[in-house]
Amino acid sequence: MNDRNRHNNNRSVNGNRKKLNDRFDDDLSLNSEDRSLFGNISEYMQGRLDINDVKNDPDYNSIDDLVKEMVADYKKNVPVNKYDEKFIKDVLDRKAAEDKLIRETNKTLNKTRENDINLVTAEWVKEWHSKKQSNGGRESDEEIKHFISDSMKSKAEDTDRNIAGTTKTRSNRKFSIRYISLAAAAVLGVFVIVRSLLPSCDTEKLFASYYQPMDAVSPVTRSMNDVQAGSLISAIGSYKKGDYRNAASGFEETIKNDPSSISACFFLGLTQIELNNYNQAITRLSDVVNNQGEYMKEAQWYLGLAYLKTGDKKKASECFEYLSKSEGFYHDRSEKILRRLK
Amino acid sequence: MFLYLIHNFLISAIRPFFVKEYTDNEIIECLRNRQSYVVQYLSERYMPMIRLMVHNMGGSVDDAHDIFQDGLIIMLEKLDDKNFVLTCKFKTFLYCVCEKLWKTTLDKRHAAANYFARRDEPEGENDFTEHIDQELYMEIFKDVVDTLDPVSKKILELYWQELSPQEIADKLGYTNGYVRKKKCEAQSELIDKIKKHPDYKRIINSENAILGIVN
Repeated sequence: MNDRNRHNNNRSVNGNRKKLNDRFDDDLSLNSEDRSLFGNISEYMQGRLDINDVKNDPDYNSIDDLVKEMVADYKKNVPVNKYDEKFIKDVLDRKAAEDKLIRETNKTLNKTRENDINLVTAEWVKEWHSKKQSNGGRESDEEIKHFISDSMKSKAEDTDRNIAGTTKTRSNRKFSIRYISLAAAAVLGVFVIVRSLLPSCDTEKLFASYYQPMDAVSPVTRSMNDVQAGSLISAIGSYKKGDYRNAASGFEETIKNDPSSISACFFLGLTQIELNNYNQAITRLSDVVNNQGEYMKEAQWYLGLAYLKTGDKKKASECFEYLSKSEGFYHDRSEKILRRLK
Repeated sequence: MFLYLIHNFLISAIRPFFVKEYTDNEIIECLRNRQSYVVQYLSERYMPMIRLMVHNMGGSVDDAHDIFQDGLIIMLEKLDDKNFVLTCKFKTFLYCVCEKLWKTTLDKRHAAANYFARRDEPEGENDFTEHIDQELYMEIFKDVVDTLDPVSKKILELYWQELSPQEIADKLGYTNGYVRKKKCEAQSELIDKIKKHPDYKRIINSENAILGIVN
């Protein structure tokens, strides 16, 4: 059974966030072993209470047929949707990895305590200190050691006296090798430090640090009829709310009715970025850029970022070069990105 | 190791300020918009229930993980249909889907077992002993929780159902302070009793003995 620390005491049943002070906070008073034991009990009891709750729910039996049908459908045409599968799998795998990490840490902590590793290591340190204090004995040992090794050395020198020149050069070579290796290590160290201080040009990271959803404002809808304008405005509303799937279908519908709508094309590009469809985003944003009208600079910026995300440094640089040459909001940040791309 | 500790400490310190309980409508809306945090929340909140259900029907922790994952994918497909209206609690629906999925998986496994002679797999044996241990742990937990006085038991049960001290106090007619104090006492009593439980001691001793042999 999994260890589980409970961090979720401040949840509310009615969906509103509870006041921060209205939660149990006494888990911290337990040691790690007790906390993991209580975590296990909590997990088991929570599961048990939830199952009881479900079994007593009058709807439990009424949805039986519907669920049967759903499961049968799923079993018939697996895999259903690769994107959905990946979405769920990624989150759950990440969660499982996190739980495993917490479990292992707790286990190690318990083990440390069980084996009294702290006590053992404390004992070693104590011993080492006492040896250090009784230096006299150790020094005499050292003296004997030195005396023997020195006399051995001098004996070797005596026998090799006639080839002293060669010995000297050998020791010189030894020294020079030592110095060269030290210098090499220092150069390597400096190289590593400089390399780590210099900003990296990992395009994914660049994208992550610069990308932000567009703070959308209502578009110009003069040339549109009321229905078209309405659908565009509601799609932008969906985009603002983070409802990207609806936003995408809204923009697509607007473009279908009015293929010349640059706003819809631009926002569809942005929405595709949010939905991780970078190639589609690039197509849409390129159209806006080629049109050289409304949203030109914004489209250049997001197009550059989309190219960064796909790893196409050359195309991304072209976009940012254009922006860095013209004045405005994107000027400075484009220059910064260009510096890191070079 | 040190970094792990810092990481865990930060997670446990920060998380309570961000985690919240979602209503069924919020869950559905967030799932429709593919918000990953709601999947994380669902896993934290409902995985214990699914794990126990799968365990009770002879499955392992990994089976439960797979079933939960497939269950959510099925629900996602259904929820994308705008005409679909949830007529019961999300929890009930999720449980029902996972239960059906696990039953069909089990049927398939049994059918396969009938066709092919079972091979001796050492992994399976390990799973089996693990299963027995878990069974014993659950028995102990259940026994010990039942020995608590009714008030402590009720408070803990509501705590496990994610109610806050104030909500429990309102529900049972106590003060907030009393609920906090009682929960703390009940928790300590529970841990104490479990540690003294003869079966628990036996499992821990045998685990230590195995570890001793391994090391």
